[in-house]
Amino acid sequence: MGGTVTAVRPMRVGLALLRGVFLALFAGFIFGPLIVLALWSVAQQWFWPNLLPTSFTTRWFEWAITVPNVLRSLQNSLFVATLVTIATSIIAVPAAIAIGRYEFRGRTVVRWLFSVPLLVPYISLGIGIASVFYAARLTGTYAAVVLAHMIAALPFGVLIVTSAVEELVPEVDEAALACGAAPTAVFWKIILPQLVPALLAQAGYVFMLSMDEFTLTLLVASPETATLPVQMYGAMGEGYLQVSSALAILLLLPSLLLSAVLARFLRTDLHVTG
Amino acid sequence: MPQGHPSRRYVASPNLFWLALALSPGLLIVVGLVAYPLGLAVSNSLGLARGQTATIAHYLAFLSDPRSYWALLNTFALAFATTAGAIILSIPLGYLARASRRFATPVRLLVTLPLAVPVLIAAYALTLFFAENGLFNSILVRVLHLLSEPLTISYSWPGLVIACIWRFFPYTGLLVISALGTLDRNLEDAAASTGANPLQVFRRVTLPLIAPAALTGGILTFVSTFGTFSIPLIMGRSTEVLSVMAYRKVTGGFDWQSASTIVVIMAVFQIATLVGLRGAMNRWVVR
Amino acid sequence: MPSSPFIRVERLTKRYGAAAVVDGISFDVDRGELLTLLGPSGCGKTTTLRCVGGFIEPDAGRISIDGKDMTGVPPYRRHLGMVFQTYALFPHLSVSENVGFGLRVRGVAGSELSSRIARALDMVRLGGFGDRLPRQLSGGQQQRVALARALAYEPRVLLLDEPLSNLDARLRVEMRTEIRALQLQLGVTALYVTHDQEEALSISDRVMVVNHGRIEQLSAPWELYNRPRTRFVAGFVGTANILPARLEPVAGSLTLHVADRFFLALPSPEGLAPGDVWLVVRPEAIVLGPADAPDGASGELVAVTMLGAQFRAAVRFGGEHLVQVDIAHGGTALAARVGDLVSLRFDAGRIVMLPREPT
Repeated sequence: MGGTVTAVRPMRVGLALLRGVFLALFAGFIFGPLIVLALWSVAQQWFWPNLLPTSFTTRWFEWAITVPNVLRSLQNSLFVATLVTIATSIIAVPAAIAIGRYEFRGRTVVRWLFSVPLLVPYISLGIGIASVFYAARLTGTYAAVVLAHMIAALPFGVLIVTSAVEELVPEVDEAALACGAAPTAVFWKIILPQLVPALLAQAGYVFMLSMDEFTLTLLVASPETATLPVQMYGAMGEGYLQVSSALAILLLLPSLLLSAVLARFLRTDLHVTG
Repeated sequence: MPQGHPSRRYVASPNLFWLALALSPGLLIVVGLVAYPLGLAVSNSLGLARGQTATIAHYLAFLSDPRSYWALLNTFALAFATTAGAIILSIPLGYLARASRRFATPVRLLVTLPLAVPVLIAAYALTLFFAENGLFNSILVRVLHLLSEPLTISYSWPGLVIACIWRFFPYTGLLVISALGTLDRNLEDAAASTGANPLQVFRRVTLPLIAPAALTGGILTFVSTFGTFSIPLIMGRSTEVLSVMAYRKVTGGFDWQSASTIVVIMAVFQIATLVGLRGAMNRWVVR
Repeated sequence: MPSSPFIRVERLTKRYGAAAVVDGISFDVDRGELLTLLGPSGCGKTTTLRCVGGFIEPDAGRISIDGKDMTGVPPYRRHLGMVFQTYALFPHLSVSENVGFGLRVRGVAGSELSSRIARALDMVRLGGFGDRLPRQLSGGQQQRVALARALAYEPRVLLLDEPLSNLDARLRVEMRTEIRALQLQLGVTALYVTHDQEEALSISDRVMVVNHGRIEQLSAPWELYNRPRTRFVAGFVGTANILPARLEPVAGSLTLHVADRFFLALPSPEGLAPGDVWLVVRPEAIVLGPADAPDGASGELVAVTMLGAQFRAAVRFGGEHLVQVDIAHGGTALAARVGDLVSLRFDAGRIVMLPREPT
C-alpha cells in the first residue's frame, strides 16, 4: 500500500520538527533571562524598540569592583564564605562520619535533627534567627552573618559527607584490618582518603552556598557586613540596571563554574535552597 | 546467614566520648540556632514573650486580616501552580530526552542549569527578560510581529509563576526525565501490542509508572516555591506572599510578633503539606 | 609424635537473636592444609570463617591458632590474610600500594618493600600492573591483586570467602587451579568458603559440609563424593539418585528392595542391619541396558540429554522415581529411543546406604 508508506514519512518529519521546535523554545526559555542579564551588564545603551543594545561597555564591571561599598561587600562575601566553609567542615565532617559509620542509640533522631533546617520554610529559619540575633544585639555583626550561613550550610554539609560515608564498602575496612592495620590506621589510611572527593565537594558546595546566600543575610546583616547579593539587591532597588546586572554576572559565573565541577558529586535533592 | 546481615559490618563499638565530641557542635547549632529560634517564634506568636499567658490573638488577628488572608492564598496558589507547571513541562522534556541520544544531553544540561543560578539572580534575570520593554516582548512584537502590544508579565501573577517554574521546576524535571529514561520500554510496547493507542498507553501505563518520581520531584518544587522569598520580593510587586509579608513586618517597624506568627503558620502548613503528600504517595506506591 | 593441629575450632556458636547460625561446630585444620567450608547460603560457613578472622565475636566456643587462644584478639593482631568475594581492594591506592599495605603496616620499607611487592605481583602474574588503580583492572585481575595483597606479608593462615563467586564460569575454573597451586607452593594453611561443590571437590585437601550451622560431614573430597554420610551431603555434592529402599534378611544374607520394584543382592553385607534405608547411587554407577537384560530393573526412557563429556538419560521406574543415568559416547544404550523400555543395572560396589526413618 503506497499510500500508508508515504503517509508515514511526513509524520516522522513532523515529529522531528516538533521536537526541534520544542527544544529550541525550551532553550530560549532557559537561556533567555541569562542572556538578557549578560547583555545588560555590558550595555551602554539599550532602549525599546531595539532588540539588542546599541553600544557596549565594560565600565559597569569596572564600577562594580571600584565603588567602595561594592568592593567591601565582595570582600565581606569572600571573608564570610571562607569562615563558613572552614567552620562548617569542622562541624559537619565528624558528625557525618559518626552518623554514617556507627550504629548508636538515637542515630535516627540525630540524622533527623540535622535535616530540620530543610523541613521548615527558609524564611521561617530567617525570621527565627533574626529575632534571636536582634534580641542578643548580634544583628549586623560578622558573627551573625557567619552563623546564619552555617545554619543553611550545615544540613547539606552533613548530607553530602554522610552519603559518601555510607557508600564505603565495609569489606574494604575489614581487608585493612586483616592486613594488620589497627582501627586508627584504618581510619587515617583507608577511610579518610576515600572520602577526599566528598570532603572537597562539601567544601565547594558550602562555599558556593555562602557566596550566594541572600535571604538570611538580608535579615541579619548591616550595611557594613552586607555580602554581595545584598549589595546587588540594593542596586536593583535603586534602579541601577547595568550595575546590578554586572554584579549578578560576577556572582553567577563562579556559581556556574563550581556547579559544573560539583555536578558529579551531588544529587538533585541537595540543591534545594530558598 | 542472610546476606547483608548487620553483623557483616565490622565497626569497632563506638566510643561514646568521640561520638559525643563529633556530634555535639553540629547539634548545638541545630538546637541553638534552628530549634530554639523556631520555638521562640512559636512562643512569640502565642504572646508568651512578654510573660503573659498564651493567647491565639495573633493568629486570630492574622486570619481576620484580609491582607494576610490573601497572602496565604497567594502563597498556596503560587506553589500549586508552579508544581503543576513543573510536572506539565517535565513530561514532554522526558519524552524528548529519551527520544534520542542527541536530545538527552542538551535537555539534561538545560534542566540542570537553573539550579546553579542563585535564586535572587534568577528572579532579577527573569524580571528583565519578561519586562514590558524586555527581550521577550521585543521578539514577540518587533521580530515575529505576533503581537501589537507587549505583554505584561514581569511583576504580574503569571510572571511570578513563570519565574518560580524557571528556578524550581528542575527538581521535578530531573526526576521525571530519569524515570522516563529508565522506564522499561517493553512495558509500553506490550501495552501497544494489545491494541492501546498512544494516549491510552500514556494514561494507563507510562503515567502511573512515572507518577512516584513526578510526585517526589513535585514535593521538592512545591516546598521550594512555598518558602521562596527572593522571587516574590523582586517579582511580586502586586502579589504579596507570606514570606515577603513576614519580612515587611520586620523591616517596617520590627513587628517580630506578627512576623513570627506568619512564619509559624508557614512552617505548620509546609510540614502538613509534606506529611500529607508523603502519605498520599505511600498509598499510591503501595497500590 | 602427632603434630598438633594448626587451627583448632571448638564448639563454636554464634546466635543472631534466637537462631544459632553456627551451632557448636568443632574442627581442626593441619598446618599447610586447605580446608573448604561448603554449604548452601545461610548455612553458617561464612560466619565460621569470619569468627576465625576475628571479625565476629563468637557467643561460645574457642578458636586457637598455632596453639594460641584467639579469644579477644582483634583481626589486625591475628596475622592472617583474607580474600573477599567483592575483592575489597583499597580504591584510592594503586595495585602496588594495595599489595604493599600489609608490609608497610608491619614496618617494611625501602628496597625490601618494593622487592616483596614485586615478588607478590609476579606470583599472581601481574608484574607490570603495579601503577594501575583497582578500577582499571578486570574482575579476575582484581581478585589476583587481592590474593597478592593477602599473601604479600606471608600470613600464617589464608582465609578465602567465596573468592571466585563474582567471576564468570571459565575464569572461575582457571583461578581455582591457580589459587590451589599457590597455596601448595607457599605451604600456607587455608580456609576456603564456597557454595560451589565442584570448586570444593577440586581444590581441597578436606571438605567440611555445613548445613543449618552444623557439620554434616568432614572428609577428603573422594570420600565425600563416594561415601556421603548423610542424605543432605549425598544430595548437595554431585548428582545423586536417592531412592527409598529396604534391607531384608534373606537366607543369612541381606537383600536390598529398591522402591518395591527390584532386589539387589549385596556382596558384602557386614555391618548392615535390616531396615529402611536411602539408596544413594551416582549416575555413572548405573548401566543402561536393553529391556530384556537379565537381573535389571526395568523402566521407561524419558529423555536423553547431551552433557558434553557424556550423555545423561532420565529413566522413570516404579511409577514415580526418575533416575539419572550416564551413557558414554558410543554406548550401545544410545540406540534406545524415548518411550522405550530399558533396564537399569546398579553397580553394587558403588552404592551407598543411609539410614531412613520408616514411612
